[in-house]
Amino acid sequence: MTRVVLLGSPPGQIASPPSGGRPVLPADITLASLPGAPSVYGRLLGQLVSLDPHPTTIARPDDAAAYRKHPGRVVESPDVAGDLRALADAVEGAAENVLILPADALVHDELIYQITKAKRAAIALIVREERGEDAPEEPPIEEAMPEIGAKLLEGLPQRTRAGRGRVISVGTAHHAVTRPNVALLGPIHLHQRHAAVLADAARELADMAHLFGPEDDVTELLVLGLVRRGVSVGVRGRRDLFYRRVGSQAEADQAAAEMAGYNEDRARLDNAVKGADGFFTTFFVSTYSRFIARWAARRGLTPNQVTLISIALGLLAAGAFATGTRWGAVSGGVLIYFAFVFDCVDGQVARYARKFGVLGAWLDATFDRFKEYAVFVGLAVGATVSGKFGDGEGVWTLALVALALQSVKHLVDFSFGAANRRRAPVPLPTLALSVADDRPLREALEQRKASRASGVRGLLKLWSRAGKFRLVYWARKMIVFPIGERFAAIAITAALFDPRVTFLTLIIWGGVAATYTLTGRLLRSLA
Amino acid sequence: MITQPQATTIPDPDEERRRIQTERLLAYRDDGPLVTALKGRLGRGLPPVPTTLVALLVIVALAVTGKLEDGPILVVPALVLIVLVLPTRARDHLGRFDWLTPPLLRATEFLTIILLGLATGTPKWLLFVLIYVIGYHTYDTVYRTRQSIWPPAWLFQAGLGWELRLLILGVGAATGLLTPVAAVLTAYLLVLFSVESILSWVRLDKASAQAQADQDLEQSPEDAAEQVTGDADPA
Repeated sequence: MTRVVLLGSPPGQIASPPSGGRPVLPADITLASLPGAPSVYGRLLGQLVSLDPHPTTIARPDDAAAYRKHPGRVVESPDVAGDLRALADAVEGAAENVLILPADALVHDELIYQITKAKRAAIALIVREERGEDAPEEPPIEEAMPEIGAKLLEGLPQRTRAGRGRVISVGTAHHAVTRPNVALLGPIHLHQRHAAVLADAARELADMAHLFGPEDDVTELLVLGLVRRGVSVGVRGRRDLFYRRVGSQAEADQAAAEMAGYNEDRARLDNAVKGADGFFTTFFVSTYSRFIARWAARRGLTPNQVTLISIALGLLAAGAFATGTRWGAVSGGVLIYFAFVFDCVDGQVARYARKFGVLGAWLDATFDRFKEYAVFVGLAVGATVSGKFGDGEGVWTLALVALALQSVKHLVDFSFGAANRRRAPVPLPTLALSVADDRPLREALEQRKASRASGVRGLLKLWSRAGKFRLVYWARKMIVFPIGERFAAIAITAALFDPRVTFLTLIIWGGVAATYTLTGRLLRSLA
Repeated sequence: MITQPQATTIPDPDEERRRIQTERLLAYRDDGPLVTALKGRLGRGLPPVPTTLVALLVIVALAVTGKLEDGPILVVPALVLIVLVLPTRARDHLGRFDWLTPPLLRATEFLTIILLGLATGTPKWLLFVLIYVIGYHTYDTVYRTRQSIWPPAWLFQAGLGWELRLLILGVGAATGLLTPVAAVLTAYLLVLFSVESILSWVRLDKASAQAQADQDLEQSPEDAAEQVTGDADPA
């Protein structure tokens, strides 16, 4: 479960009078184009019901009545300071993750889902400033001064600076930021371990609320508090999904029309394909496997049933190889390729249909190994019955070595993973909330970077940066001999040559891969 | 030897993570009853990585020099490994290179099995099944602990650990009986590990174990890191 907090009072514009024209409440805006014509707020509650059936909404006393017509808890607060304190009360002691959303958000289900499933302990939705190709080159950031930005991005103040993966510094009407490049859209998802930090920072910010302007949104202040307390807040954009805050019926109608132009199902399907896959998987499987996954999910196939199909195909491939004939080898190659395709599909069905299970994950992983090693047996049996390799013991020995090598290679992955996970992350610098100028934070970050870029670490950083060249990126992916490449190597060498060539390929490529990964990991252990 | 990681009070999250991950690393070693029985009696113990590496090199040297032919010499690889590596269990395995211990140990175990098989002419398919079954147990330990489901401690004892498995095979090879000994051992381990897996999945309260179910158990550490950092939009 998740603890959901909705913020019922939207911010004003930069330098707008505090009592300026109040936007219409999301509980009073109707989305006529959607089934059942819900209000913006009612729709949002419906979307969140599986996360938290009783979300907390923080609202101005005048607006509370409108929000109270809906299920959930409404907390009244007279101003931003009250909002911050109410939020601190709502998240304090949370034993579940926390999702904070503006109550006037019009957003896809899938985007809420992706934010809550992100692997970051804290994540904020952002929009980046787009810089045209022909925009003049900016002077280096070292020469830039912190500023209170007046620029707007989609009507939101562009006052935050984000790096590639996380928020670096957040600005307000009081806090200046060096070269702000993004606007915070509002949604924040937080792991429960940061809930106490958030509550504490929110209370401190409440005491300095007189410094903020009408445009400073509570969500922005919260991210400011987290970042200044040294929490790594990850960033992500909307990508192929829709999110917007709506403050009037006209805005809502326009936004709803725009949202209808998005293909949410396609976005969900694309997200079901996991990133960071190898070369063969990316270009020869992932290009179309998602459509099989969607087809399977719509037919009601469970991920475990797809795993069974994959196991059956793998066993058939092993059987075909075991015939020891050319035709057997060719059909075995085709079968093992499809066994691999369905192996990718089962995970995609699980992610697309959101059907996860500990047993499913275990079956998938365990039978991947089973399939692979069953094919080894098929190949070795085929070599024996074909009579081309004497009594076949030589090929069996190669099969043994290939099995031992691959098992040990996997164990290197697992052991290094376990050891790597116990290293505490290097803490991010902190800065008191009252400091207006963010330069101390920048300097501390620069120092942190410099201290981590010396010696072996510098070498590793250089190597990881080389990944921006496509050729290096894919070569690096291929050299580690991931599962897609292994299955492809088996299929191709077995179909074209003979089992001995297959095993020698597996042993040599696997040996190179082991040497490469071991070198990298030994260096990283040293760093 | 495998204790269910349990939080009594709320510990420091970094400390807790280190404890659980080290616990996993130790489980990957797959130590058996002999190691467990002698764990507390060997003082400070030996550093795991260099010692295991020395054992591996000694066994390779025995093979390369053609010493492993037949007779009592065939029990020597198992004895070398046991004498050298058994005292390493007492160490905390917190060193920066100590993650090398489980793969080194498993590599030495598999290499010894292959060498004994080659020396005695044992059917290779039988050894293939034996290595697969031992490997299955390791994979199973990994895939379960990655989901915070711990195999019971008795399974590691009943699985005999690397040390008793190698000792049994070594004695079998030295007495010229490797084929029947390996066959019995393989059958025993196959039944043990598969039945325990099935029973544990049948008994598991799956609803309570759903929390982290969406993780990919096979992912390498590098891919996992890429997925986290790659989550951001390109700059």
